[in-house]
Amino acid sequence: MHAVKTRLCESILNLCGLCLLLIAFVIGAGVLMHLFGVSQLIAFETPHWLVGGAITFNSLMGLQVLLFAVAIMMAIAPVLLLDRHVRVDVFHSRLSARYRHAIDIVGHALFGIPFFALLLLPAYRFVERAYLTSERSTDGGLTDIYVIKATLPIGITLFLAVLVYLLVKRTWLFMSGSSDHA
Amino acid sequence: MLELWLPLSMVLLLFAGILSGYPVALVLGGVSAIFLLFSDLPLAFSNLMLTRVYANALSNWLYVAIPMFIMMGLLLERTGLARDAFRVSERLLRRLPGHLALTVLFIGGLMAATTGVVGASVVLLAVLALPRMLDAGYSASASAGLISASGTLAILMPPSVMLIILSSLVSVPVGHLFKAALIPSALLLLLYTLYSLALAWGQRRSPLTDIKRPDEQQGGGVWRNLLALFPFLVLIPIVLGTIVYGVATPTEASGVGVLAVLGFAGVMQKIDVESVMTAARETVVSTAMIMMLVITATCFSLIFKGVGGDGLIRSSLGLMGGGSWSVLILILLLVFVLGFFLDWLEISLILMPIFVPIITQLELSNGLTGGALLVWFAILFAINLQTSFLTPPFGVSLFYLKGAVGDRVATLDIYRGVLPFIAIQLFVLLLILLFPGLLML
Repeated sequence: MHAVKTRLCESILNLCGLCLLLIAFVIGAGVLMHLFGVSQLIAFETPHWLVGGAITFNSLMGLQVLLFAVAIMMAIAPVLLLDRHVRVDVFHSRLSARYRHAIDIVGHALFGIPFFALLLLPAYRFVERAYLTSERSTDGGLTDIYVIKATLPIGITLFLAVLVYLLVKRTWLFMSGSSDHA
Repeated sequence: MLELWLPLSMVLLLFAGILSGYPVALVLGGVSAIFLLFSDLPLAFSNLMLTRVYANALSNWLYVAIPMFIMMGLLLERTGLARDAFRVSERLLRRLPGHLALTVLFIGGLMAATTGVVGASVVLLAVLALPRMLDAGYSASASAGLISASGTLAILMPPSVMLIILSSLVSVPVGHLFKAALIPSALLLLLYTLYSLALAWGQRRSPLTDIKRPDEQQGGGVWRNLLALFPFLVLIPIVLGTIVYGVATPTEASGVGVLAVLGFAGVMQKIDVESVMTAARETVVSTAMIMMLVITATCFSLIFKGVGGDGLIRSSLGLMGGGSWSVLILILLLVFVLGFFLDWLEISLILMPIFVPIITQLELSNGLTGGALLVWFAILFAINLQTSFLTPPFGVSLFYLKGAVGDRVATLDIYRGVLPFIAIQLFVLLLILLFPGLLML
């Protein structure tokens, strides 16, 4: 179970890492366009999904933001599963495993889950609105802004799923009095 | 007074949550959710929170530079480019007294001028330099202090992730902050160097200081030496120069920087899929941590202001009495004290939005107004927070150092070693406070 979890997280993080590496290349393409004074990379006869009629410097900027949003929103859940979000260790590190379980149980139930649950519906509506009004960027960049926005509800759902999973697991560990698998 | 209860209890719950050890980002989010639900703010505020998260954090083009600057540092470390530069610099400087300390400072400065966070440079210097310094007769505390301080320069010296975040919090162009941070960073590096030279001079009597191994006597050729330093010599103008002179945006410079490091590693045949992917994965984790805090802190600020938090801060600063200068010094002191327990990111994200309107109203009569005043304040804030990386018991750099060297240096030695550097930091902070002209605004 533990190995599967780690492997799964690592594959997701690898994908996110590739997104970030890709950003560097997209930035590089944009800088080359600047250097050679090209304002349009390719123009299409029929508009394409996401980029519309042409790939411009601003589409490349939009693409970077999209890749960034994908990488971040996909990564927050595995980072939580691996317990890599910043904790302040002043007292935490001196507590017994049982107390730490208790803190996480209360924290997930009181802080984590309510916050992300509160954002889920607005996030969904946010994307829906962008999709229904076919929102496009105002600077001639990407033509389907809902794709960037969609990373929000997807990332939040994943994060909520991990929070609920951790809450159940910690509660079970706490009830059974077991102190391993911190 | 009654209207202050709400923000006050919000602050108390925040601190209780943070000190419990539950992830800080989730505490920030949870506290905002609780106070949104239990105050008389309309529930539609959750839509506003989400819009802010999207606009300020997720679709902010400037923030794309954050993972790029982190990845540059990790790639320089993982591919061995930084290690080669270290070896060559050590060889070039070997005739000088205290050459190991000087090498640490030199490489610390080079890494700082090409990357945006401290992790990679502290670990690199700790692994490469600490054993050598101990062998050469430096005391454990002196070596640990020097390495932590040199590595920590990366968070202040542009390009710096901290300055990127601060620039968006105080709404000044990041290029201005980068430019303003140049002199303080150079000043710190200079004072660190003078201190190390004094230290080396003091240890001259020890025969160990200039120990040489036979295999290091040969120089290895001027060209090979230059080749190892070449990546840095090219990266610094590409990345830093273009931003400071406004030729490129930080995002552009950061992306080109990553490509350049990949290119150098490729040409020098030091690239392999495993090390690139490890660097990329570590970048993802660091950036996700940072952005998670940016996202939840954005919501926290919104709700805190919604329940009247500005009023609370204003009246508590007012209660202390005194004029504009005492307010400023109080703020800096608060940041310094919080720095013992919290990270720079939480402090900036929570406090900066509250402080900015206060700062703009101060009458300091030191000739600074508008943008220049905010740049000056942001730099004071940044130097202050940089110090928090070194202050025991929870200095981030000290953890990195300890993690990298294990039991070779005792925790107490590390604490003792950083003290002189903390003093230097505070001296520079004072200097900038008194002479804002040093920033060349």
